[in-house]
Amino acid sequence: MKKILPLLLLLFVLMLPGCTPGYSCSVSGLVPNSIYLILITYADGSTSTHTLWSGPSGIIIVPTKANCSTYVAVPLTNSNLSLSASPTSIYLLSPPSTVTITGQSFDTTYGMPRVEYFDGNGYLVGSVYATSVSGGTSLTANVPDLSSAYSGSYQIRVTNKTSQGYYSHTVGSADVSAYGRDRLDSDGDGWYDDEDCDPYDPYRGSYCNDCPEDPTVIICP
Amino acid sequence: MSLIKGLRRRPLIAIATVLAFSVLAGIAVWYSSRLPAKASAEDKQHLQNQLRKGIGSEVRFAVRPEQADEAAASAADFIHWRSGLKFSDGFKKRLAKAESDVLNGKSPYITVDELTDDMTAAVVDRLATLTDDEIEEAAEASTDAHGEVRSRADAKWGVMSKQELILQAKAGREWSRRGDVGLQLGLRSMIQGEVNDRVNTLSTLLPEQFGNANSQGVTPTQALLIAYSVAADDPLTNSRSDIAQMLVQKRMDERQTREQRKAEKNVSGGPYGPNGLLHPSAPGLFFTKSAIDKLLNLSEGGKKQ
Repeated sequence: MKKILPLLLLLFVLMLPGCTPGYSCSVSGLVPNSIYLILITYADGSTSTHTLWSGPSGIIIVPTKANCSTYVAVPLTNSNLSLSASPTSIYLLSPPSTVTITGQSFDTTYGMPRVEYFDGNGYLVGSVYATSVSGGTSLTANVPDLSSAYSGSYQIRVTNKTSQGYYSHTVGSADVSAYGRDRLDSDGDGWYDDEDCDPYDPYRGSYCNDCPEDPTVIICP
Repeated sequence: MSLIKGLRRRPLIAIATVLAFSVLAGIAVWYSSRLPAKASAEDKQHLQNQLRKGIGSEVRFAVRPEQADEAAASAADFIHWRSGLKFSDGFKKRLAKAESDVLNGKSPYITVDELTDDMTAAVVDRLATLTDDEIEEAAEASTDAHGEVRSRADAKWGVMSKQELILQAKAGREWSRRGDVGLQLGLRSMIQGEVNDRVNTLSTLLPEQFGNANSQGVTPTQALLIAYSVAADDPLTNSRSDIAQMLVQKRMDERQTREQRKAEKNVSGGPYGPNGLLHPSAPGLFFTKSAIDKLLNLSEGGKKQ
């Protein structure tokens, strides 16, 4: 009963007169236990994307805010290969113009692979497309704008474009290090300037939450 | 207007509202990452490992009264790191005292039914006293990167826009203020299911810490952790380093830049709690002083002995 109640309750919501109804798109026939990118286009032209797990049944039910007139289900795959980059170290004040990545499974059939740079916290620093691919085992790409990047470790991720027209096959990633521009913490409050809401006020941290004195519970990051 | 009429005809809508409001009712589904916890033996083993690395190793549960301070502090730290919900020093002292009283026999353990009753009462009370500002803030905190409010249970609870949630929550508040019995019964049933799911899972997979939860009851620290888990939809799994890696991966999947991150206001960047990256919710709305007092009073006086 307790498992049914939530659904019954949801049905009550949907049946409410005057209440904006909820909708869902059921996408079936998927490969079980796989991750899919579901791209929904609504009648008004707006779109939404959802990354969801297909589960053992191979069905994804996407809760939506309106009837989904069109949707596309794109399987997201990740070969998770360990790639190599050359050079392996980048001097940020004078970065190389191109980087060569070696590995396997680079595919140009539907477009040049995408090459993305992520910092050690997973933030996207720059994204470019390969300029050439050789034998599926080596690609060359321009180095993106790294003028705002800091010293540290980076991952270069390579993603192939697939037959459905989306960059949905992650080939793998290569590690590189960057040096020459260290992150600053000007006010010494423990937050780097680029994430500090006031880099020159040590009493204001990253998210500017002023916690109250001593309530039982306080919310602060 | 037709919405209100509809609500009057269907009291349980308020329950759905509250349950959709993950803070108050814990719409949680006991999920571990993307896999349901109730699955194969292999999945159970996996979940057990994740629980051991999470709550099992990061909270130092007390077995003797003199360990109560450490238990309260580690539980508060565990919750804070994961959700941004920070407990004051005064609260931690009260929690430690309540924990110690239970362990030295001065107060009874909290039974699962008592915990369910008190959580239900706290939620109903809280719902009735919500201000419009609190509803707005909680809706904002529960909204994901796509501007939608949802549980992690795929389509189980559907999805709402922030505005829809606010409308529904206000309607639910009116029902609570009128002391609607249907609301209380429905809520209790749901909270009971959520609490039982957690207690059963924890007692099965972490028997050293929770093995006696069903038969004997739980300590105040354990009760707090279970209540938090329900309110924040936090499965209590995984170590900090594991979660940090999951967050890195999630940022990469979403291709988020630092500029986008910095533009987000009042976002902790943590996995759970307000605007949490793994599951956003507003547990602070539930964990008011009076709600926590209800939990602690059980061990401070044993109102249902």
